Amino acid sequence: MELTYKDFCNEIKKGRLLGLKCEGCGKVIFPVKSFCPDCGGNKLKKIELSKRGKIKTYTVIRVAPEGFNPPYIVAIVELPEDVLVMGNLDFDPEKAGLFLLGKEVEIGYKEVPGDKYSGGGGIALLFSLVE
Amino acid sequence: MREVAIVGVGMTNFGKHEETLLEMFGDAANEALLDAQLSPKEIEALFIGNCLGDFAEGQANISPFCASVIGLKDIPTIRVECACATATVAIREAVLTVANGVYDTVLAGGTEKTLVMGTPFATRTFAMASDSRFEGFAGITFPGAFALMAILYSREYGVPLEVLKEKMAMIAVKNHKNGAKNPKAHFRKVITIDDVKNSIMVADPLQLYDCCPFTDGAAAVVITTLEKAKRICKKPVVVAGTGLASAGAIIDQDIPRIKAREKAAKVAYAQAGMTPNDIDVCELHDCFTIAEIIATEGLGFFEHGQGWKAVDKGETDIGGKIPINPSGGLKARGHPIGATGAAQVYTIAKQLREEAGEFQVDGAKVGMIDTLGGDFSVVCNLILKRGW
Ligand SMILES: [Zn+2]
Repeated sequence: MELTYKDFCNEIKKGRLLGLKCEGCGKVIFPVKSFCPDCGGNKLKKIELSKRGKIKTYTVIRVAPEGFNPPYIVAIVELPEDVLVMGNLDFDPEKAGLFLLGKEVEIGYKEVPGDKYSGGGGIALLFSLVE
Repeated sequence: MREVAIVGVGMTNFGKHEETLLEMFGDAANEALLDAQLSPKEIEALFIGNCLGDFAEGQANISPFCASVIGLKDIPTIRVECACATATVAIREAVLTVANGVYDTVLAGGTEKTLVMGTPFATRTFAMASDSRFEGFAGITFPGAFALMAILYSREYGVPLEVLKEKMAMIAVKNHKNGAKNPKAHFRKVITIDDVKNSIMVADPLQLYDCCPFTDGAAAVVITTLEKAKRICKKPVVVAGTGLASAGAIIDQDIPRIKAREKAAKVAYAQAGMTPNDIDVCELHDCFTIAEIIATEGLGFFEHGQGWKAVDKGETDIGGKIPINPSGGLKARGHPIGATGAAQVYTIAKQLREEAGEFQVDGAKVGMIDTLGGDFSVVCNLILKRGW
């Protein structure tokens, strides 16, 4: 794969949010794939994605999977490249509301240790509101 | 391809079971074989749905044991896992093998135990059906995934969230009203809109009564050629069309629509030579109240962005324009995930045979099954019709 999850994690820790771009049709691709879903091409190159986007939707998780500490916000953010990313919003869950929709966020990350079923740890994107 | 029919159906009560996965499957298979008046010896292959046996009982590789528990050996057995769509996919695979002449008579179904895991661990195992890297580490849950959809639906279609929530509550009330009439349902109690509104928040804006429960149960169906079915049974239920489609992570989808469903349904309708207007009764995937609204649109019963109005007018009630989930749906019948699709087939077969008792839809001749797995990444549809 041109971009593995391990590389994705290593790069975000260096401040770069990576995705792929199809050299055949120009489509920006996220999450990572080995073929372009639009044209079927396999010439995909790593690109750096914007680290700013807008909140498309969100929820406050109050009943969580084992290993997570509720309440916390999960949000989907739309990037200018027309791709979506999921992560946590660094914001008081008790103050969350529909006003969050469309708000601009900056994209960082947090390390998640994982559990015995997760194949090691990973990262969750962490969004913070841009004022 | 040969025409295929369902000649026997069986289902345990849904709820909390002391019985094991295999014992529940044995009971459901026994009822199905009795219904078909066939000996297990006539079963040539077994397609069993089970998602979480590995976690609930430490039981992997369940399919050969499912055959063994009904006294069968030396037959091919296949375990299917597609999250909550598991059993429907197992049944579809079984139908395809019979249609293509691989086998004449097969058994398919599902068995699942979730309650023994407790809520935090069960929530963890359900969440495993999302993308483990790009979604899982954010702590997404299934109520969470549909909560994201509810907010997006409200915004995309300009339906104020409090209005949408009122209609969602009415769907919970409708499905509980139906479930109260179903002797095999997990919840057999009527609820009110206030019960929904007073329940705890699970994933904003979804409250506890917007969510289906964790449930144990099993269901099984006997599938054979229509030719054989006509010889051995008075009311064979024909599999008129099937569809199955997939998608990637939520962030890879065209939300709030569920395109996998739209494709699966389109294929099933085309194969059946039918349109949504031909469907008399539908059991669909109401894992959450918002999910019922989105499903009724994706299956073509209502326009996109309009499905939320249906419950208000009684259009989805028993006796309405398109009765949705007369058995109580996942909400009230319960949701033992790997068995749910087989329970939907059980209940639609009963409807077409006019054996659904108190929740019978009068004169139902064509029924549809809709089952969704993961965070909208797999949807399987079946269209069943009377074969007599
Ligand atoms: Zn391309």
